[in-house]
Amino acid sequence: MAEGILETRNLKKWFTVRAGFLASLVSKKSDSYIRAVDGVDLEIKQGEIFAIAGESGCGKTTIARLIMRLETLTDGEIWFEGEKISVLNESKFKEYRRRIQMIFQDPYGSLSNNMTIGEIVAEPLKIHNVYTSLSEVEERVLAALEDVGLRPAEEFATRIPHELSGGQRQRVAVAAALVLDPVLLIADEPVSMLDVSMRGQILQLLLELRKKKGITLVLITHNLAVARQMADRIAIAYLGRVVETGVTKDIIDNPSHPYTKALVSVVPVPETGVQRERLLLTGEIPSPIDIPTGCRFHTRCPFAKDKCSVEEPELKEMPDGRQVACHE
Amino acid sequence: MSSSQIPGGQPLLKVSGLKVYYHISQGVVKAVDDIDFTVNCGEFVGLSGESGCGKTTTAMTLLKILPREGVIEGGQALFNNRDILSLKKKEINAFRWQEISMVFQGAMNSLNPVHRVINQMINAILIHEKMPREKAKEIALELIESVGIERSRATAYPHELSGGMKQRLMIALALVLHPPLVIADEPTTALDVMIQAQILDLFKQLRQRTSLSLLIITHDLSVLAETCDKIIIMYAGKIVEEAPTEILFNEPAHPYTKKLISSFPSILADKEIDFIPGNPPDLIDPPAGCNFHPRCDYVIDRCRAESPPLVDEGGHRVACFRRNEI
Repeated sequence: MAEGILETRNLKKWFTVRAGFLASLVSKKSDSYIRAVDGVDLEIKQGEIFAIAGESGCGKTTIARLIMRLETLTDGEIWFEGEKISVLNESKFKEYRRRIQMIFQDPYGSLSNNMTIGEIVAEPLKIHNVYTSLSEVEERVLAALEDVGLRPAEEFATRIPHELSGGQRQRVAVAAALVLDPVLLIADEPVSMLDVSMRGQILQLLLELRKKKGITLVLITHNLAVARQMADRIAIAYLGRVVETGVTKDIIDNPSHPYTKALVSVVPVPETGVQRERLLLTGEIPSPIDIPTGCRFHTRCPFAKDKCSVEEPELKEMPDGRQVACHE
Repeated sequence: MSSSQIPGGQPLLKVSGLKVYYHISQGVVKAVDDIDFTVNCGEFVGLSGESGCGKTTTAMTLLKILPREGVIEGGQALFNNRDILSLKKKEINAFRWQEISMVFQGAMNSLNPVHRVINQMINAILIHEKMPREKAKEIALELIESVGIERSRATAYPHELSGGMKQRLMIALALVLHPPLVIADEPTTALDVMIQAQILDLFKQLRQRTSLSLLIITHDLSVLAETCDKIIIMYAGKIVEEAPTEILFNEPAHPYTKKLISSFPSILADKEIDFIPGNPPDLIDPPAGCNFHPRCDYVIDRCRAESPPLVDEGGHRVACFRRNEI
């Protein structure tokens, strides 16, 4: 069994929605909260690819941003390599930020056109001040560009982002994350902006990095097909909580939470003549300001019982090792 | 479910020899370069390919909403035996929405935020047809119901509705004047899978209930697999393959289509992650011969010199010299 590298315990992020001064005078309305992440426990193991999947608004991106400390925690703990990093002060945390890197969805927005590719990839080294000489910077930048397959690296280093295709830009983003030799890489929808033929290149690249450098990867995605291909284990999130987690293949081939079942059943497949039983949910995801009592999925669940509207189910371990948050 | 038999309708839209070039300061971009296709009455046709393959330009040409740089260099688009491309400005206004309407990507953001949705629909009807307001309202309400939204929600403002509901309303709006053809450009791309499934169901119902023809433009092959009768694949401004859905997925005959399908992730099986090496060509200066040859595994000398014609063999059109070996 591989060792745990990152753990979150009861992770919570509530965003405050101010009632407004006048409204508070008139109606005694108080502030409300968007419970974007509402008690998430994850355990990510050394060297694995772990996917966090769900629809928009399920909190998957906020979880990633909390781990990177791009948002402040409302409650809970984050442990990384055996240390509780959620309580560290900013200067101490900077060391961890070097070891945990993130790549974002939009390779068109995340790279500055005022800088050359070489400068963009060198930037993290300068921010963290982890170089001894300029020639070392150059060496590491070129090595990172080589690693992500932008060859010849010398030539790419002098180019500007707008001269590159979307796939190449996303490679630059990966190179900028790799240049600090992170042990954990968080990829937030790394391929959803890319064309199908490019997606494979980036996914393949991420798989290679894991193989060659042993990097642990947290993959945030709404695309279950991508998760199925990439991830060893997966967590399905709904309204700020994990409803089911376990080995990806088990969960997607044989989902046990009603929400996972529904989600898997509606993913279209690029094949014809496949008969699948569909579980089409009606209605919309409730607002995270006004989360239903009991099980937060009970308002849309076709199997809901009386108990479900009262008592919130905890994640329970099943005989096959997966964890499911459902009373049934 | 896609059915294996194609509805035997008459050709509704017949595009032939269409060329649309963008004249920009860097040169001439051959966005759509000599394409032919037909959409039959009651047929659902998918148009797919990667960004920059010309699929959206094709749609914009058919509605004559090209940006100023886009020039129609040749060809015709016969709709009910009338050439759309030669219509005068006045005629086009009557033509749009009534004959062909369009659902755009992220269309849900094109509803006017300060008007109730029902009023927006009534106005759309009244602009085109003379009738009492009450009657227009009744038609609008029926349409809203037909896309699975309760009548009571019709008086809502757009911000009170979810993204999926707004997108369904836009589809209702596109259907308001009962046009024979609707063009949907990435109709579900910005939506969650659950909402996407609802929209695709709506399309399937429309297909059973009406004689609507639909041209769906999307990069997402899995969406087309579930809805279309036939699929057209474009690459770098040209059609490379066209076939009934089942044949396209099971016996793709163009190397590009084959790669595209195998690159597409599926939740159903363990698949090796595949991809197409290299990048799509620069359309200002496309490669000699077949546009796809620099990325093709099956390339021979002939592909570098000659552009392969699109050859029809029993309804399966392929532009490749080696189609029978693939």
